[in-house]
Amino acid sequence: MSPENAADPAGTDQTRVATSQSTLGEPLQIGRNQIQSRLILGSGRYDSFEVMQESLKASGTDAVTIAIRREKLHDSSSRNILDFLDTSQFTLLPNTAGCYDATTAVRCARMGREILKGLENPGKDWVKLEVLGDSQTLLPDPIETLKATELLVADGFDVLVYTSDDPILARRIKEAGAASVMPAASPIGSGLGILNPNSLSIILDTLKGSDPNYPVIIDAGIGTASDACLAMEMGFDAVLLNSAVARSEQPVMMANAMSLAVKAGRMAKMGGRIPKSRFGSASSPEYGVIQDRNP
Amino acid sequence: MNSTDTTATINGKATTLPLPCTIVQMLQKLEMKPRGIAVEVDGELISHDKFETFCISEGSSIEIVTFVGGG
Repeated sequence: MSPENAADPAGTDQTRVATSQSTLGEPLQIGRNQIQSRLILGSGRYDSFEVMQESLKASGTDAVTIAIRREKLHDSSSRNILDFLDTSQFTLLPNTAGCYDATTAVRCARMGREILKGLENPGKDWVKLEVLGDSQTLLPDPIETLKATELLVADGFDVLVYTSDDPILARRIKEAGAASVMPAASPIGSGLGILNPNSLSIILDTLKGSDPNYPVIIDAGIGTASDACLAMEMGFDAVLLNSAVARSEQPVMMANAMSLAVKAGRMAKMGGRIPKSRFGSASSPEYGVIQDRNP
Repeated sequence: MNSTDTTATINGKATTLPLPCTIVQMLQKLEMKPRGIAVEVDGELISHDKFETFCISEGSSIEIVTFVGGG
């Protein structure tokens, strides 16, 4: 009898299938918020609000990042993004994008919280902290990022911190009380994908080793679906991306691809990949092979 | 501008406002709705429940922000 046809009197296989399906559908807890989808999608750089709406729908996301900027004065005809986001459906995740120091980032975060309080959106409890150090690379300023994390945690925020792939800094950010550490795969909007898988895997080991439920999210640099899938296969809890969908040729289709990639990567991680080997290992039985008729 | 007006800087631009001027009155003059915005006056974030009572002073520096698309 081949292994795949073997009896399963204890029901172990059925139990395993049921368990894995239920674990797969588990929401991700980040601070006080829970998200169902493991894909967090940005709302920037779409050709139109309508394309953004359709992309969000295709992605299956329930958490959407959003930026804070000065309101345009004397322009009552301009359209507001909030008219295109169902705030009863999405948890909005305000970011501090464009801030280059801790003080400005904290100010920006508080403004976002005030807006979300008015909208009665659960996003009021969290913030995506982004303190940039350089306008060309858009890499984070590590010192200001850590300082801002401490200030925001003290102010009651669940802080999701955009950081580099430095494992030591990631550990310091977690120790400062961040609700989630979110290392970049590569520079924001670069589409270069995962450039330093070794450092990222060290971050996962460091942050989740004795605290497996601590959420670690890959943020920035994703270029296409295989990057998102790989991140999930590595063990990240979710993927946050924007440009890879918004600037693609077909954003709605790419949003769907990212949704599938994140699911596939998570399933593959839970499924458990086979060990890599330098040599082959036959999939077909080595016994019962027909003999050459003319030896 | 008459004697009952005041000048404030709103989002970096000098703007004339009638006195006395609450946040709600300022927003009406600017043809803005209070939904989806946050207002900071001289570095102090004003909660929505104070929009009808908080009065803007002469020379105040005001920031009015909203959400835009972002990643």
